[in-house]
Amino acid sequence: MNNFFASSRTIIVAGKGGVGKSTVSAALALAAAQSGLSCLLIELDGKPSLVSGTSHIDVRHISPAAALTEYFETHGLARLSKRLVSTGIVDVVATAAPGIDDLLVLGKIKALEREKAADIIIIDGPAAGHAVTFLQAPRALYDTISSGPIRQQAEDVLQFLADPSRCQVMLVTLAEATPVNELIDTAFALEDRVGVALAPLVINAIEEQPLLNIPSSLNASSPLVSAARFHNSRVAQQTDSITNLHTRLPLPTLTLTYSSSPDNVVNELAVQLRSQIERLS
Amino acid sequence: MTTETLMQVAARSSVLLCCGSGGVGKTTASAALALTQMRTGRRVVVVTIDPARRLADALGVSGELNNQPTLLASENGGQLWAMMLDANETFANLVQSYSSDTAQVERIINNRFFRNISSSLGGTQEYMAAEKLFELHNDPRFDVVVVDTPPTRKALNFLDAPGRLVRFLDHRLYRVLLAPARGSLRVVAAAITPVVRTIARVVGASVVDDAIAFFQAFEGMDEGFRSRAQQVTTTLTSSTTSYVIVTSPRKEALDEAQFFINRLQSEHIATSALIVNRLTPEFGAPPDSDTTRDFPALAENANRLAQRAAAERAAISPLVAAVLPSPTAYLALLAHDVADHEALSLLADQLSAS
Repeated sequence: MNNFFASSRTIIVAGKGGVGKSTVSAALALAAAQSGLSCLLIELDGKPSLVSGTSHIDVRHISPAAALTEYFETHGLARLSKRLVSTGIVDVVATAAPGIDDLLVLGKIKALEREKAADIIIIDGPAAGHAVTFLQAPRALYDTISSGPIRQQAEDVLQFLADPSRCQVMLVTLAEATPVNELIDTAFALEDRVGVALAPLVINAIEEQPLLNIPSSLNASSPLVSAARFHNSRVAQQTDSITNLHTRLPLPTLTLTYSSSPDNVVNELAVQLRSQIERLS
Repeated sequence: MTTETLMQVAARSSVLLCCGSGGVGKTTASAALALTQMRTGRRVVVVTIDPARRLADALGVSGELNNQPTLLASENGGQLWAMMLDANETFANLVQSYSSDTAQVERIINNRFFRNISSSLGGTQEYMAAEKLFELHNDPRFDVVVVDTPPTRKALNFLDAPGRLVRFLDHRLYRVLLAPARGSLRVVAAAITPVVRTIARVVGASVVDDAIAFFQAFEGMDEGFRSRAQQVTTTLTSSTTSYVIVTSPRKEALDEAQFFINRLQSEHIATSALIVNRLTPEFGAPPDSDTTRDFPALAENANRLAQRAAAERAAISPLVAAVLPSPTAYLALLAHDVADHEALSLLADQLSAS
């Protein structure tokens, strides 16, 4: 169990909207905490976290504006940073050099990892489509800015992203056609263009019930038959998507079953993650 | 009690804004809603921000959608048009319409900072969506505009996005930046402030030069932009503009839907309708004891789905209550992905019957 959590000090969780990215991040943090590790869960999009008040889990929010301000403050530009915020120049800087906000957020994460803020840092990351842009920002800025502290920052973050013992990306999907296709595209883009290591994939909310045999003796219009047909069709679609995923992206996977209790989902998934992770190692 | 159905709300609206978090099937629901409007003989255009390929398929689009509306279908005197927002192009068109000086337009459009604004400045995409909506709303070809907003919390930022961009373009900072600059670019370099010098040291001088050149080129256009922003805001808050929240019965989506409702409330806008998508279907009465004995696996499956459907209904009920007296429409989870016109048509039937 600890082998998995020891394999990388930072895990960035990413996935298309609606696949349960935040739930999986929270469950992963809980699973780490339950195995006795101190865990820092970082939220990037301003949504309230799904775990709070649990011991061993520290929840923090990092916003681009706060990262930019902090960057200036820690680089001897504290007086300037106040003025920058009050004049709105943060927007201008972020617009003039696109990706600088992403770079500084990643820089902050890298700094937390460096100072060993926790045994493991889990990032409830950006939606899959944006994940590539987000993680590509350091390379883009490194290539456009020829000197100075931002280039240095970009270089440090590039090293951080390229080191699998420091940072890995965990992609989450549902067993449905569209999210799976999007996950595969994102995975290829992350490997080719960012060079970041991929952690095991998470397939969330799967139906574990087997296909049902529908006896011909039953009236085709019976609710039992229509319910069974619906179930079989969903399971078939799920099997197709999972096969598609395994064929095109041969990586280890963690599968989490559908939870019908919204209030307890984080706990349920944490239990499942722990047993699945044990199976991995 | 609800006073109207979703179809009645849609019929009296000239703009339908669909908001919701990612993965709830908002794009699909918007397309289905647009389809219902065509069927009642209206000329409808659906504006999508980021159509998955499958939606284009469901809409029967052979090529890619672009920034110009394309006629997809006609029925019963109604028409269905679709387009995909290109924020960059919309912004460039807007600049063109406010300047008669082609050299000025060229300078702005070719400026790197300008291109970054449309792709990177927070809120610009939302403003361009609002701008496009305003254009389409005033386009005599259309009776109703359906907008599929971006799947983020920031989607409703377009409510204040017009004002925000104007403030950005009109900020006192730029007057500070530009004050010594009227005249020639050489003067800028000489009179550059310590703040700007420091920023240049951090991010590079070319970045700052681009920004300054942009604000210089933009000078004189801010008045036009300000009055346009006012008009766009008026349309967004008009009584014939309806806000439709789309959600799925999953907890994360429901929380986000509540966030959207609150956000609208803080702008004094009532949610006009709620669409709950991807509900587990109901399959009729529970099996009797004989059937359960004879077909235990099938009975168990039917019961499990019935329990799930009931749990979903319970989970959405606070939200349904929160939007009252506005109506809620329900869309069942289909056994297959919505990948063809037939599936979309089924969803439109469900919306009409809600």
